[in-house]
Amino acid sequence: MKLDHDAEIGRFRAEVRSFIEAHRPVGQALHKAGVRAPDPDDIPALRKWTAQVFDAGYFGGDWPVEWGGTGAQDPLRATVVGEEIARARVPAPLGAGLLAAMSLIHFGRQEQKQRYLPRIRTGEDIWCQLFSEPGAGSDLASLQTRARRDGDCFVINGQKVWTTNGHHAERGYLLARTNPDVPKHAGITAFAIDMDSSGIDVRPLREITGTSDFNEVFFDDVRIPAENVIGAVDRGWEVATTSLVHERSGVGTAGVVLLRAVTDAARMAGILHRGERPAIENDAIRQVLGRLYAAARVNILLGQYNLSRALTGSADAGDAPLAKILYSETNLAVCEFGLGLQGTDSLLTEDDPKAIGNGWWQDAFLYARALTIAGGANEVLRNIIAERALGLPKEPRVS
Amino acid sequence: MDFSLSDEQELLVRSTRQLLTRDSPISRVRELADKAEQGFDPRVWEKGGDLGWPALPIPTEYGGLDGDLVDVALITKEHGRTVQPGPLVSHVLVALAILRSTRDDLRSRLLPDLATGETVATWAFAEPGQAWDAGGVHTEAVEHSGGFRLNGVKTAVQDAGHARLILVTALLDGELAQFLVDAGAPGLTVRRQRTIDVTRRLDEVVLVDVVVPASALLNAPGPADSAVAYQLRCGAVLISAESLGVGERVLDMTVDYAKVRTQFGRPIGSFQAVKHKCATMRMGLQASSAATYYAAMAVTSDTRDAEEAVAVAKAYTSQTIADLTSEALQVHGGIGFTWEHDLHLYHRRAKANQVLFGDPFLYHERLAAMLASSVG
Repeated sequence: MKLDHDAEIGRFRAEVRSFIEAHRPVGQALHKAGVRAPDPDDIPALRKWTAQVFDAGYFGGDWPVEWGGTGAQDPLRATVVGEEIARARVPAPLGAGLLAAMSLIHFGRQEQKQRYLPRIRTGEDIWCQLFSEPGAGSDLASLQTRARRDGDCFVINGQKVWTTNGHHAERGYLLARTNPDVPKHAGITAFAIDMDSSGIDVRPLREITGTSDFNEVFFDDVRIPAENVIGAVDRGWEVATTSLVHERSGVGTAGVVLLRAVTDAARMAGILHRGERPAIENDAIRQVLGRLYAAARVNILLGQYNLSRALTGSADAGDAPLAKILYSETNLAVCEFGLGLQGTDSLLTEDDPKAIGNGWWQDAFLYARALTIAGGANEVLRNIIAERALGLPKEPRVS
Repeated sequence: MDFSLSDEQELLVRSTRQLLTRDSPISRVRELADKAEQGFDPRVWEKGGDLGWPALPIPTEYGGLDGDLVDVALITKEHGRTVQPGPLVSHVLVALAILRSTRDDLRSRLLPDLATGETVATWAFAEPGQAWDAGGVHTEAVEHSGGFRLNGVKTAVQDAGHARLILVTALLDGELAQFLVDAGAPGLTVRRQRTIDVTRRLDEVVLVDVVVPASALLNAPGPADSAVAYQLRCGAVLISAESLGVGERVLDMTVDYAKVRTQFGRPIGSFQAVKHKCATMRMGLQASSAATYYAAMAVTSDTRDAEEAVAVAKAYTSQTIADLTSEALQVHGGIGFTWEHDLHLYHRRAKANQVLFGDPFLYHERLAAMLASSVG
């Protein structure tokens, strides 16, 4: 066991930090809490930001050299980039491009890589992920959207939901059922799809936060070329799970967000009052503050612990899910605390001129539930930990 | 950051686990618990001495192994796996205190015997009903014919009944000071306490006009403040590591049980209600490991955030592992509630470890104070 005093990593962190300060995108809605789809007005700035981050090698560094990366797997540097982006509260590159890129790099054909990967790096193509359906959220494999072979094309019919950035995206990363007569995991195929294809209808959903980050996407006889299949027909489950592993481990490194929120809450507690005294002098509030600070630190340390396990080959299937659960549950507790500190003002939202911090904590609180559900509901992740990491028997399935 | 074990550490852990499973399995620990006066098995302590437990953090020039706090933490974790009795933690803390004091004469005089474990030492710090910090110290030392006279009551002193040397933290002119007291000194009495943790011996030490020579002063007012803070940090780390062993073993027991125990025609481990508890236990254990090992490294390297790292680790781990053993009891159902089942021994140890070297209330307050001053 040793502490990391790697001067090289320290220099890299400083470099990333000053890069972010120099290039951080400015926009109307970028200060909002939670992982949000941007206002349309902010999108040009976000495309530019995406291009800059890739160009600097902070994202996509682990891609093969011919697609602009260095080919080097460097999870330590990737973690530093994730932490610094979180610390600075700037958005990560827009859309599901990284997720789609992972599947294309692992499973895509040469011409697919050629067509899509460069445009992800330059921010020209925003991707959305077309996985979840009204009847298939946590049980993703039960999806019903159909892709029927017809000559050189597949014809898509069905509906997706919870599609982040669906209303901004040029491309979609789609899972659809190509074979209904085999076990449910075995009949799914992954596709790259142009979002301006005829027959696609994107309808923004208004969410609990009052904003529209997600969409419903309807497919009515949408024809897409068979060359858009990623990997092999009926083998899409493998493609999807490979990229989802990537998503969950990314969520785990976001402990820095928590630490920043707890620090902000402490600052707020120094300004707001409980009776005659600053809230931060109240013993009950101090106890919760201390507990949440510890929890936020533990989240960061768990991320580093899991990274160390991954680098030494001792990680298991439970690591990424448990980091995600701990993060999203701590986040909920921190948001509730920040809101609760405000007393009667906790009722006021961003539409009210007297809302504290323009309603950031109210947004954060309402958004917090998205994180305990998205990327695998915590209950489903607990099943994964129990079954794959602890070896408990599977839930009996009716199939 | 690298949390993996070196080859030497792997070997140390393996040999310790072998020794404890062979010579001091849980059945033997139960026997010791039932024999009120025994406390721990001197033969196991001796064999542990051969493996180098007490010698680990002591430099080679004093007969030690030149290891660090992380090494000791790995050993205390193994002790937790079988809820071992014995003075390891407090003994090591006294050795560390002597090592870091300005008393060069004491290092060469005392450390070789502490390194072999031949002399058992313990630290008398906490006082009845007080929080486990400097503010809870009321034992008083006054100068007395060239030496000092000590008066006060200490609680939860590990294995004082077997110790030859007791490090007493007291107030001298209202400031912290530390004295090395011979356990046989007139006026010093030891009473075995009945505690929630039946597998570990904790004692009350009463000092009534105990007279010690001037040379017994290990840390004078001033230097004693940071010495005590350091000892508390090390103690909090070691007891947290012990809790990791408790949690690891209890999770194993619980998962094993959930796989074989059937109800309604299937293993209870196939029910989500049980699975989710086990997954939460696993999550708490892994997060506690990260926090505790980081704290051990931070204290070893004396990083700027060492105090904070310890507060985080102790508050989080002690609460989380106590919750873990509590949930394990729920999964075990009625059988877990019996005296015959080993689970309560672990549950008790976890609950005791929550208090020893500072409870979550204390550390949450300390973290809040740090946070208030950093944003204020």
